[in-house]
Amino acid sequence: MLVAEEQVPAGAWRQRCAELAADGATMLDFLAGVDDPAAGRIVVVAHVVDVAARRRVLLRTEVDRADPVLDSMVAVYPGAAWHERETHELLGVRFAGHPDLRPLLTTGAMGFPLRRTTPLPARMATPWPGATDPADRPAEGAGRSGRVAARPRARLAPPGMPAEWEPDARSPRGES
Amino acid sequence: MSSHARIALRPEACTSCMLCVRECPTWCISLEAHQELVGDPGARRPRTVNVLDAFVIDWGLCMYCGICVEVCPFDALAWQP
Repeated sequence: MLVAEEQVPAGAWRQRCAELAADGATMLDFLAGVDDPAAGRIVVVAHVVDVAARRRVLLRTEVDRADPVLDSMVAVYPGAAWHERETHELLGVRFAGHPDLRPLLTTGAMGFPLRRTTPLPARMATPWPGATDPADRPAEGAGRSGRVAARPRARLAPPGMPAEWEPDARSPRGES
Repeated sequence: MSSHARIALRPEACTSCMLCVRECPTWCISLEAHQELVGDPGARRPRTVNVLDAFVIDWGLCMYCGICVEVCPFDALAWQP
């Protein structure tokens, strides 16, 4: 089945969901969020399916990252209740009209874990294997010939890590 | 639908460029290498090459996304059935 992708303004979210459900797309596959700090927004994605007509629709909308609010779709897709709870606990998106936005799994101790600016404790405590480089163990006699092959000059960091994190130069297996 | 058991390295193709290590989203690849000088008769000075010492994928962390296979410029990583 091909999937039709739609970009929906946040204000039209509830209405578009109602239209799609009335049209026959009665099955909700998932609702999730994607953090986009560079653009100051959180993208919310929903996938609904019209099983009989073999039609899939991928809906996308975006909310302001500083105050992320979106209409809840539980009135149209009751199955979205836990998806919205999860998106709320992981990204902080508030769903207006949701009957019970309690967290499913998180305790709130580390903020919103799926936001790209949240430092996850396991990552913060782990030395990054990419911080080492073969140039850290140069060839014997390399200095005498004049030039030592240099480490990459660009500051290396794993993709997606928040600014407070520092790559640790220790090898991940504990050797220095 | 295909399924894969693991990702395997061909050490003779690996140049220890560290791209797979750095692009892996779960940081499951560890690579240790050092540099050696290799004589080059046609050149004015010896060439510096990376020599691979150890390449380990932590299968407890690997999520089989295949980014390492895609990013390797020397096709040293491949899916193994």
